[in-house]
Formats: sequence, structure tokens, C-alpha cells
Amino acid sequence: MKLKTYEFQTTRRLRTVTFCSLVAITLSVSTPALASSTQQWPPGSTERFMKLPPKMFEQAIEREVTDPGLRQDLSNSQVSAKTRSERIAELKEAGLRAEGEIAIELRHQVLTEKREYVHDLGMQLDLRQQHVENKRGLLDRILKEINAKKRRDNSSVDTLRNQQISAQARLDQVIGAVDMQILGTEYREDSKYSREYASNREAAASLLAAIERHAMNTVPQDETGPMSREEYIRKLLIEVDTEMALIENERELLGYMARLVALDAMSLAEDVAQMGFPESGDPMSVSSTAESAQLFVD
Amino acid sequence: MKTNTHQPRNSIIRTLLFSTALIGCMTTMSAIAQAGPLENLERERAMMLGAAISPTLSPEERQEKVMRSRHRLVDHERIVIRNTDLHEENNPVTRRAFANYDLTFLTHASIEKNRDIIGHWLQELGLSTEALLTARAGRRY
Repeated sequence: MKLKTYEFQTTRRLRTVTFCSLVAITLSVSTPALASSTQQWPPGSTERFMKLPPKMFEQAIEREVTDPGLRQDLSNSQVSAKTRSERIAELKEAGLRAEGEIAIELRHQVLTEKREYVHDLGMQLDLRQQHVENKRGLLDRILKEINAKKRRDNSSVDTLRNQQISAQARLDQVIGAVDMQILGTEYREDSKYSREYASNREAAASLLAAIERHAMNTVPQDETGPMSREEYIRKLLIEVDTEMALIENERELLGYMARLVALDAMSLAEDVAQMGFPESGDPMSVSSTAESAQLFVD
Repeated sequence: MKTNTHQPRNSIIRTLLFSTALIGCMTTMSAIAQAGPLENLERERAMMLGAAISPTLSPEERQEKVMRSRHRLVDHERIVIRNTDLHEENNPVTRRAFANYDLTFLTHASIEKNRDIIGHWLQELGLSTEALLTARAGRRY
């Protein structure tokens, strides 16, 4: 019995160790990294975004999803692409004036530069796509949080809120009459609450008006009127999706450029091969066997 | 055979359990003892109604106590209605308070309906003058 228990425990332990090893190996497989900036963008809290005024909201989103490394990589890639495009133009111009092997060499250099240029553009597209995907992810999370908060506010809270609002309305209607009746009696001292509430209320009203007028608090508008926070986020999501579609479009163009570079390379290879053979005749052509027979007859 | 080492361990566990229960009770009691705006209103209202129905007070004493409570109640009622945090306290007491405006905010409701405060309270409880005058003692069949 003891032996069987031991065997069972050993098997179970072995299975656990094997499973853990497989998990560790799977996690350690490195995915190809684009650049130093492509460390995983960690999702942060969305609570602070929901409290921001509309104008700061979009800027805060941009700051959150734009990694400094990504920005640097994008900038470097853009500079490199610009430099290469200028060099390609120079080499092409030089190639027009060159002949023979120098022309071939210049064509080769043009092709190399074009290939690197396509690579730089591809890198730019990847970085832009990463940026846009990060933004989309964050906006999605914020929108989900807003909807989840709406669902969390259950109906009894709404009922209570509405009852408090209607109680306030009833109070406002009768407050003058109450003050008249109460003030008329000898028992009414000037309470601290009533003394200070009126002045606080005036101050609150003027502060609220200043908040409404503040430039940072302008509510985003569309053709139908002011937009709610949810509508504004959906509008930003549409813009993000548009950007992603454009990136895919540009990637298609890049594919065509790469194809052209490949075709040019093939053409160059053929030209180089052609240069290795004499101009006369087909290098693969041989004299007829029948004609050779004449050599053996005499 | 049980050894003596179990006894000290049991006593430690018992002590820990007792301490936890004691701390929990103290926390609960302190929470109950805290007075929010609604609790202050209800306490003041209870004192006023207690004075109104007290058989030991003379009519003049009763009137004075009710009037003094009434002007304190005005502020308490306004504080509760204007408190923007109350709707986050979604408990049965708060829900019941706002569901019964006429019974919770006696001062304002009575002046709104042009009644004296105690008469308004009795009316809301169904003890109107007409009901009392038509009431008779008898067997319910």
C-alpha cells in the first residue's frame, strides 16, 4: 500500500514539474521585437481619465499611449527614410550619366537603398500601428468602464436620487413661506446654517458659472449639439479606426514598392548575367552533331 | 495519547478568536454611534414628537418644546435634502426617508399643506379629526 502511494505521489510530482517546465518554455520564447520601444504597453487605471475635462482628455490619452522610446524610434525612422530618399535620387541621377560597370554598380546601390527605404517605411508603419492600437485599447477600456459604472448604478440608487431631486424641488417652492413663518416666531434665532448657506450658495453659483465658462471645460460638440463623454469617446474610436485603415492602405502600397524592388533586382541580375556572355550568338547554341561528323569522315 | 502541548495552543486560538470578535463588535458599535445628517434629523423629530405626545407636560410646556424643536428641524431638514452624498448611502433607512417626504420633512411639509406640525403628522398617520370623530369602540366581526 505504501509503495503504491509513493508511486502515485511521484507520478503526480513528475506531471506537475513537466507542466511547469512547458509553461516556462512557452513564456520564454521571444517574439521578434521591432525596436527598443516595443516593450509591452502596460494598461493603467482608467479612473483618472473619466474625471478630466473634455479638452484635456484627448491630450491625456495621447500622453498615456505615446511611449518616449516609440516616439524616438519613429523620429529616427523618419530621418533615415528622408536621408535614403535623397540618396536614391542622387544615385539615380548619377546612374543616368554612367555607363557599363559603373552604371551597373550604381543601379545596385539604388536597389540597396530602395530596399532599406522600404524597410524604414515598414518600420514607421509598424510603430504607427502600435501607437494606434494602444490608443484604441485605452479608449475601449475607458468606454467599458463608463458602461460598467452605468450598470452598477442600480435602479434603487436612481430612485433615491430622483426622490432627492424632487424633495429639493418641493423645498425650493416652500422655503420662502417656511422662513416667513419661522422668522416670525420668538424661537427663531438666526441659525449659523441659514446665515452662511445663503452666502455660500451665491459663491457656489458664481464659481459654477466660472467653471462653465472656462476654456478647458468646453463640451465637445457635433452637428446635433453637445456630446456626452460616451459619444465623444466613440467619436475618438472612429478616428482611431480610420487611422488604422489608412495604415493598412499604406502597407499595401509598401507591398507594391517591395515587389517593384524585387523585379528591379531580377532585372539587374539578368543584365549582369548578360554582360558575362559574348555578344555574338546564343551562348547555349552548339554546332549540329551532323556537322561534327564531317571531322571524323576525312 | 494527547500531549500537553495542545492545551496552550487551544488557549491561544481561543484568545485570538475572542480578540477578533471584540474588535469587530467595537467597530460595529462605533459605526452605529456615528450620527449622519439623516440620523440627526430623525433624532430631533423623535424628540419633538415625544414632547408632543408626552402626558407629563403641560400644554404651554408642550407648545414651547415643539416650537423650539421645529426651528431646529428646519435646518436639519434642509441639510438632509441638500446633502449630495446621501444618495450614495443606498440603505433602507435612507430610501424610506425619501419615499415618505411628508413624514420625514415634517416642518416643510406641514407649512406647504398649511397645517400645524403635529396635526400634519397625525393626518399622515391616518389620525385625522374626521377619522377620530367617527371612530367608535366595538367588536370587529
